[in-house]
Order: sequence, then C-alpha cells, then structure tokens
Amino acid sequence: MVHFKKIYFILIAVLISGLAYGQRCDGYHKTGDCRIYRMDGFENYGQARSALIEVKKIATFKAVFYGQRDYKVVLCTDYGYYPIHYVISNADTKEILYDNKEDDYVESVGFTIDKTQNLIFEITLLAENIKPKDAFDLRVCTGVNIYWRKVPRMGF
Amino acid sequence: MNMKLFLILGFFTIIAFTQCKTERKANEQEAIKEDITQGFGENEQVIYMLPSPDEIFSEIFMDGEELKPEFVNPASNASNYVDIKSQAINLGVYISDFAYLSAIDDSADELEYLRIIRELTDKVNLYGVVNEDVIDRINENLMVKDSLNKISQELYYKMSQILENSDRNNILVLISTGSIVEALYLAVNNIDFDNSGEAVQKIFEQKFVFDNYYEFALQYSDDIYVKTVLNELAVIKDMFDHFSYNESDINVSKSDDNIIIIEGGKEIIVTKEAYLGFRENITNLRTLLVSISKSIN
Repeated sequence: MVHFKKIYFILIAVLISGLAYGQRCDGYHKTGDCRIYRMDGFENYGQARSALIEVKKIATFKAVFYGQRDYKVVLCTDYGYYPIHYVISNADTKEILYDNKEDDYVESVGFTIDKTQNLIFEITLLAENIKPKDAFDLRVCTGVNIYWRKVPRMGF
Repeated sequence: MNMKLFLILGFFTIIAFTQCKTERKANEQEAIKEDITQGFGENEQVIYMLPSPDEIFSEIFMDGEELKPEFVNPASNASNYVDIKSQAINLGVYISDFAYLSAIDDSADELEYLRIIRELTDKVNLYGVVNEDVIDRINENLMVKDSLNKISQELYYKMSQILENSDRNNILVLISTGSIVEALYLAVNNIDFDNSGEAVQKIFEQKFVFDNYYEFALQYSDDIYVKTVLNELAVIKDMFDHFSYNESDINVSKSDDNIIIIEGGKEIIVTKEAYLGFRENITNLRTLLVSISKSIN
C-alpha cells in the first residue's frame, strides 16, 4: 500500500511539473542577459515579454511604441541557443525598419521614434551551435525586454 | 503485490521512454524541415503586447494634470456584477480606476478599490493575485505614487500572464476590454478639447493600442462573451478605422552612437468634431459596460 502511495505521489509530481512547464518562462525577460545595467533615465516598459520559443521557428511579437520616446530592446535566451535573429517592421506598412543581421545578430538595439506606431518583432533563435540530435529541448525561454524614456529636451 | 507494483512501474517506464523517443524524433524531423524552409512564414501566431492602464495614463496626461476622481466607477457597484462577463469586464474597469486613483496625490480610495479588485479576481478564479503581500506593499506605499503605479502595472501583467498560461484568454479579453475602455473614458473626461495641448492627439493615438487589443480579441471571437463584447465595441472600432491621417514616408537612419532613428509615418488628424464624437461614443460604451447586470449567464 505504501508503494502505491509512492507511485501516486510520483505521478502527481510529474503532472505538476508538466503544468509548470508552460509557466517556466514567466519573468525570464527580467533576468540575466535581458537586463541593462546603465539605466540613463530609462524605465521598464510593461510590454516586455517572455515566451517559450521553438528553435529555428519564427515567433512574432506586436506592440505599440509611442512617439517622442527613446527605446532600448534587449533579447535574451538560454546559453547555447544564440544567435537570435530579429527583424523589426512597421505593422501597417510592413516596411522593414531594422534587421539585426546587419549588425552580426547583436541582441540589443536602441531606437527613437517620432510618431506612435505598432511594431512587429519577428524573432528566430538560430541556435547555430546546436544540432537537433544534441539538443535536450528545442523549445527554450526567450525574453524581449523593453526600456523606454521620454526623448530628453536638448539645450539649457 | 510486488509483482503488481513491478508491472505498473514497468508500464509507466515504457510509456515515458516511448514518448521521449517519439517527441525527440519528431523534433529532429521538424527542425530539419525548418532548416530547409527557413524564412518568415505568414501564418505564425502573433503574441500581442498591450500596455497597462497606468502606462496609457502616463502617455496621455502631462505631469501635474488635475485628475477627477468623481469619474471612476463607484465602489458600491462592485457587488452587483453577478455574471462572469460583467465581473471580468468590471475587474478591468476597476484596475484602470485603481491606476487612475494612484496617480492622484490626495486620493485615499486606492485600498478600497484594491479590495474590490481582490474580490473580483476571486470571482473570476484568479485566486491569490492580490495577496497579503500586495496589500502590505500598497499600505506601505500609499504616499509614494510612483510605487503605486508600479504595483498596479505588476498586478495587471501578473493577471495577464496567469490567464495566458491557463488558456483563459477569453477572460483576458474581457478584462482588457474593461481596462482600455475605462482608461479612454477617464482620459476624455479629463481633457477639454480647447485647452488640451497634445493630450487629444495622445488620446487618439491609443487607436494603435485598440487595434492590437482588437486583433488579439478576434482570435477568441468564438467565445460568446468575447463575441458580444466585440459587437458592443463596433462603434469605437468604426471611429478609429475612419480617422484621417497626415502621412509621410518612414525614414530610418542611424546616429553615430548606433541609435536607430525612425521618423515619419502616420499622424492622426485631430478635429474638435471627431473628438466630441469619440467622447460621446466612449461614454455611451462605458455606461453600458458598468451598468448593473440583470442576467446570470
């Protein structure tokens, strides 16, 4: 009877860990590589997000970016799954505004916007050093951290 | 007994190994396929990111703006919302009210509104979002408005995250509806067109937030509550869709310190007529959403 209790316990633990799997990325964007250490008047923008993303599959994020603001966007994932490729485009016109391929897949980008618009981030984990047969898991947490500040006034 | 135990364990072990193997094989095959067809696909699911009410307010209101607490939904209405749709929508309404009150220096109603938010979160099965820790933090920060705003933002995103993780996006749509409509309602009742400066422009620019929200909501329009709410929002959607714009080409350049400068794009044309029409429609919609529910769905 004691053994049966143990089995039930193990089964319940397995079930709970399965449920927790979906939540394991919560707050990932607030950790490690997604953080900036010099704030320079920037604050966290609430639209920052984390998600479980599959390697070599595009994940699309869409968010409002208000005009007359400076932004810093930092992307991060687990060690071994870099580089991260991302393309930023205007949601209305689909015009590509930035592709980090031009800058050797740099993970962070700073930009300033003069007119409010919806931007689309298309993110792909290239995970160049990971072969499918080597990877323990092809889905991994990825964070998109966003910082913002009002465009500072120039002059005295 | 031991034999039985051995058989059960053996059974689960085989299942576990088979699943691992199948999943890994499927993953490998899929990854290989992706390698071949890599490129930007059309039908990927989009993750929509919506600003919290305090971020909307901070965008619209200038520092020192005199806010009007008399416009928030009275606390006495809360106990009258008896069906899940009006509970979720008005949870969103009270979250915006809380963010609004938190920005008023001499307001002391935040705790009362937090109590309501706690009751409504329980009613829509979001137990523990507003726990004792949150209440203690708010008690400690009642005089520090920046901290209250931060707490309000955390609360909103925590709620969104829980609902997304538990596949209850239909409820998230209802909460977002209440919160966006209330934020716009409070904004238009604060801003007089003739003395507004940039504020009316900022209110109209919430169209971009609304567009994201609406696309997100459409994904769940099979849900009867979401469907009803989208019908109720049709007039606002129509107004936003018929705004006029000054358009210029988008120009992207890079500064010496590698900052990307994005200039140009669409600018909404603001007219008094459009603003007054918008104010009327948003007021009517908000009145409908906070009206006391008569049915139990």
